[in-house]
Amino acid sequence: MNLINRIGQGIGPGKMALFAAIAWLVTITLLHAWISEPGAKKRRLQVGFLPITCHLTCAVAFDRLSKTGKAFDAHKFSAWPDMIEALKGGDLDVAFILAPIAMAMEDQGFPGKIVLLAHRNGTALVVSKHSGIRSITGLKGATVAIPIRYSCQMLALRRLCRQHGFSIRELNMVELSPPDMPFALASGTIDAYIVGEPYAAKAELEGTGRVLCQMRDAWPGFISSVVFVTKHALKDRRQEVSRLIRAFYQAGKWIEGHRLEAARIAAPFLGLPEPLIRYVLLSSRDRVSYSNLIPMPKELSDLSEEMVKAGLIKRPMVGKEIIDLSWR
Amino acid sequence: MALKGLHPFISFGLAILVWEAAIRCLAIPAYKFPGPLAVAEAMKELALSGRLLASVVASLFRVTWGFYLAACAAIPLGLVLGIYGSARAFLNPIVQFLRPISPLAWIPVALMWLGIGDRSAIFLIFLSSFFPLLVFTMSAVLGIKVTYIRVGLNFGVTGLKRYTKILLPAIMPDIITGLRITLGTAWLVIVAAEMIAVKSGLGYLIIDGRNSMRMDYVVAAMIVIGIIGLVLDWTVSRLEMLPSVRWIHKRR
Repeated sequence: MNLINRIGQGIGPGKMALFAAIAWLVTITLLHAWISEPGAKKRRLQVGFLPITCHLTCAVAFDRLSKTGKAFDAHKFSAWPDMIEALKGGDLDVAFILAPIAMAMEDQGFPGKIVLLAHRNGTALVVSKHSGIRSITGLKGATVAIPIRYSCQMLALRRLCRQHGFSIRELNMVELSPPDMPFALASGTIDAYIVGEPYAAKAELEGTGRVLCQMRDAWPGFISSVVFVTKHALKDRRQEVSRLIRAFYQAGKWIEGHRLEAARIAAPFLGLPEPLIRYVLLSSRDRVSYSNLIPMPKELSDLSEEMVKAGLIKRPMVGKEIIDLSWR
Repeated sequence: MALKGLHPFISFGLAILVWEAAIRCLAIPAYKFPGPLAVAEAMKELALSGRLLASVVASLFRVTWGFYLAACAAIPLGLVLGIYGSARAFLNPIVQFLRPISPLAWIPVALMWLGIGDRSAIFLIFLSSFFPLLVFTMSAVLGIKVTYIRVGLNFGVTGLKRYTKILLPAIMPDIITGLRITLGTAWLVIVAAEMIAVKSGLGYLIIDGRNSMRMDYVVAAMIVIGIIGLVLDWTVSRLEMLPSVRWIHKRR
């Protein structure tokens, strides 16, 4: 103590403070470098995903590839816009992303291709238990949350309204990030939401919401998330990318036969409770499906036409031109 | 006098009791808001797994760099703007224009140009502190008492010494106050800055807790953020005890 005081007197308290500030900077920087994971090395492919069961093949493929030492770097995002910006900034090679986002990016001149579907079905329209809404028509005037306007969920909602003889403009539509939706429903801020699993199942399990309609019934073969690869990665790292896409495709097939095990593997990767994933995967086999994942040009052409009608893109796209299946 | 120094502990203790009582009396389910015990359990879990330490270090690292860079850029620039009227006339409007834009508005730009990871987060923290510090420094210079300068002139202080012997000592207390306030703001922004695609930090812990529906993690991270905020403020407040700063309080 005496010594510290003497040193302190020697150099003056102001300089001591400056010295302490610099020492702190060095300490915290070294600690951070030591503790944090090694920075993303560009050698591996960079893959973006969201914590939803729609992206289950990403979790399973990661687990399988890690065992063979051929893993990729997986980046978990909380919201779609963050992933879009990371993609545009060149930080991602491959993204599990909503089909309309992928198509809108192509429309805006960001080059990339859809190589695989992430899943089929796996989306539900949920209404609040207390709302008394019993049919699609009952949604008129209600507040309904969608994940983002560039989503198949929004397009599906639009289609449902149209089929029941009213316009989506008669709803009060709000954009909300999926994890917030069950909370907003429980608190009564919104009356209903349409979202990818497990956020529909969550409200169901907690007893705050009721599934009004499963997309598998309203829109057979419903697609939502796709695997999108940047043109850059497709051109420069063709082999690696092809191997990865094949791994995602195989993972889908494997999940179909091992749903219980898939839930166990995916829970820590997605950061979701295992019982919730298990419920989504096992309550009925086609609640979400991971087979038949090769995208068909016609489906995407049709989707793009729906997007034009909704005012999301200017002109329809030719399905064949946005799909790349050369990895097969 | 027996209570001396114990006040904060008593008020925190009471707050925790009220919290527990509210959870019990109103029968609030854990998924809406966890009780103190659940949060303590979550904190223990996070601490034992090493995740808590890693998060704290990552957040402090980003705040330190963002804040230091802001201080290194804002204080000299603030001095220039304070001293030279013409520089002020040109640049002050731009500063005042950029200042009210929330750092959060820069998120899309940061993500696209700086990418995912530490750089974006540090940039946002930098923005949160840079403009307030700049304005603090500038107005500190403008607020120097004319008497100090006149006295200095009478004593024959000219040239560079005017700055080192009069200007800097005169504004030092204001700058320390500015640092203390902006460090608070920088720490405030950490959650938002770490929302965007970093894989670590207390902000990420909150976002990840939300995504995985672990309210206990969310509240545990909130508490740690609060505690560190207190420690940071206390540390900087020590600077106010320096002789080069204390004089202004003595005078008042």
